[in-house]
Amino acid sequence: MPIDFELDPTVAGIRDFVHAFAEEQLRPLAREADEKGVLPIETIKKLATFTGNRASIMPEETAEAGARKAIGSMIAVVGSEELAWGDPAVLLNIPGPGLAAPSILAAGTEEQKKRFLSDVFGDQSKEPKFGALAVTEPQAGSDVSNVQTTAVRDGDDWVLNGTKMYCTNGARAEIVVVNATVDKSLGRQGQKFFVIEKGTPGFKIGKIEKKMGLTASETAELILEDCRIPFDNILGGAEALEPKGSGFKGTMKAFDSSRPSVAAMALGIGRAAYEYSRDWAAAELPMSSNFTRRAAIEQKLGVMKRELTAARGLVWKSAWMADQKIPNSAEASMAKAYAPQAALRSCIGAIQIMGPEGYSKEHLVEKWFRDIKVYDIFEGTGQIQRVVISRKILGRLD
Amino acid sequence: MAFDLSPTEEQQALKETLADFSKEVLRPAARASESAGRTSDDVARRVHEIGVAAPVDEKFGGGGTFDAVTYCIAAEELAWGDPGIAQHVLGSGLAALVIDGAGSDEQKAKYLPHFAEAEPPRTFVAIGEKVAAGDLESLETRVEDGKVVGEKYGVLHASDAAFGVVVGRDASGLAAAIVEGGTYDIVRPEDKLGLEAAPTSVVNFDGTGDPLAGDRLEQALLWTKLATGAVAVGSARASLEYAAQYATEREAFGKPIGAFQAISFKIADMAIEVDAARLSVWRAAWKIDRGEATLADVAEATGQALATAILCGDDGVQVLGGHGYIRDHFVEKWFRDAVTLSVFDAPDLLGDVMVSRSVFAGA
Repeated sequence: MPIDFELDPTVAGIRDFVHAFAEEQLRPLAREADEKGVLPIETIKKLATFTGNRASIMPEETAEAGARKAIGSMIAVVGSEELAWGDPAVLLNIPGPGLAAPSILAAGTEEQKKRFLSDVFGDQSKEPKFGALAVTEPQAGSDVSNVQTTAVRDGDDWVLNGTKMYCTNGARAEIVVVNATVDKSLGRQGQKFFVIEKGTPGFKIGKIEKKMGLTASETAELILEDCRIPFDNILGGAEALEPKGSGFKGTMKAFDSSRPSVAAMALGIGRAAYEYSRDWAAAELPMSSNFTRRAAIEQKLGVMKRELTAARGLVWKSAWMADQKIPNSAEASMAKAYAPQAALRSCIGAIQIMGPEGYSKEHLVEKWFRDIKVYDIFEGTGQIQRVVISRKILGRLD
Repeated sequence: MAFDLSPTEEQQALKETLADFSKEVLRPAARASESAGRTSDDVARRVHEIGVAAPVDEKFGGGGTFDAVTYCIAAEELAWGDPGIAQHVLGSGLAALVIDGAGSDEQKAKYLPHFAEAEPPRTFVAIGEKVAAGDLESLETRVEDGKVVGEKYGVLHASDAAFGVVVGRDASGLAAAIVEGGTYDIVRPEDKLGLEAAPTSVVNFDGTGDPLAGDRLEQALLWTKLATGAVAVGSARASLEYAAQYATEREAFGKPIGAFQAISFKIADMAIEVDAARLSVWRAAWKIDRGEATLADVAEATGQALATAILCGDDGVQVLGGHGYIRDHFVEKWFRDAVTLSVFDAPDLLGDVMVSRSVFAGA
């Protein structure tokens, strides 16, 4: 196939559907959700009705199977951009498996995919359900290999101990995927992934964080105290314990599919700020008015737009590679390193273009600025992405 | 019809051919061409033989037209070899693109066969002016009623061109005409910061020209603007690859400098920017090929590519430190080339303004 920038018709159709949903259902909730720091359960239930009996508003697997085309990652990124354009915090309140899905899909057995994804999230009609991924610990952020949580085998069970933090939707999740070390002497190869179900004894909810932005998204501390789960809850099953079993590399593989989507969300926020400030300027600064100010704003808008277009190129490339089964670690990191920073510049630019109305809570651009910052931190900081990219180019020199 | 980044077999083969050619012929000729202030006839002929400098239809005796995406892939490879030489040979073919896009059947029949000759004549597309630079909206040169009057800067091959296209404005907007070589006064050759292998002059036009169709002109000029972006991507990639290689070899404090994140993060940033710029350029080229591109699309891509070339030019020098500043290495040259390119035809600043004008305040 030749070089082509037109979206597959199925992908484009889903983008349009998701955009309308984001515009009608998410954007109107943005300010109130930010102020209250939580969405009412009725609203979450309403959001769930839009997902119907599907695990996600972006049914990439269903659509991919229906279309008989490898487009799952492309659907995920174009959908993520639109949803985050609507509102990034409300997006994280749409019930579904969230970041539990990529790790289960990457490292789980077929039985586990059914048990933890289809069975749990297949029907959202009665009660909204969330999933979560908990990797970060107080002493282990970017340095995932330094994770201290342990999993010790005891007969037919695993017993987990440790503290996880910054877990999105962790307190209300039906299932939480956590990584823990089964053998410290093996370093990161000794890390495996486990699924903990809500209500398991020894699984406690700690502090709910107050944040700069994404305030309506639940960010929880999770405490594991002799938390006992069935042996079969290790992702990949017994084979995961073999020397080449899934574990740390499994997480990295999950990042290859989640990073393009997170980068796409950042892009959506940056685009929201760009479009909002552009429309504001068009209304407030007619052609005939202050030429100097106008020229400065035009220049700023021009840079914002071209950087967002460049970011979208990187996002789409990394997703397309994932769909084509082309290894995309470096490209996923490029998208994740670039898009949040371009989007951050767009949000700051939007505030500056709008001046006092930019910092005012009358408009959403100040909120998008607070929201966007974390995209350069979670799912791998910008610095960690650059480690991945430079190692790919230079090899390991240290 | 779906998003796809796989080059065709022909594009891949062309890219590989040009990559070898750039490594073996252009890179070794770069410094000599720079010193001479022009690209040698031999090197120019060899690029021409590959058939990428100017797409000319078979009916005019050419090797066939190809699309803008292919052109951008080719231009990046040539510019990787040397941005100055790329500018010399590609710049000389841009008139073919403009005449093909906006010329009458008679004009095409008269001028296009020349681009297919074994030794094609040198030509130019004169856009830049002292104040307006590459901004099509502010050009002061008048092109109307068969007359061409105005002063142009950065006119390629002015002293030995057979003919060229001069772009200006008339009462109704953008206008251009084909002008024969030697019918204008060369005010002075330009002694430039970079891109010395592509000789340019300040030229005073005050004579007659064969007018091109105004309604198709802007569309025809888009490709010439995007060519600058494609050259910028090649220049940026040259800096990136040179700096990356150096970072694995040069040692400091007992380690290759690439082991230090102050260096490796620069390399990562350069790689990100190069990939992003290339995708923006390809996207604009793809839109040109579909007949959907606007000046804003091209300005966006070229602006991104020029900003990238400058960033990579700067970081390329910085990674090499003192060695980057001396002429034993190419990085200082690519930095100078990138900055020169950024004012040559499609200034970054104006490009950015053009990007937003298409969406701002009813424009």
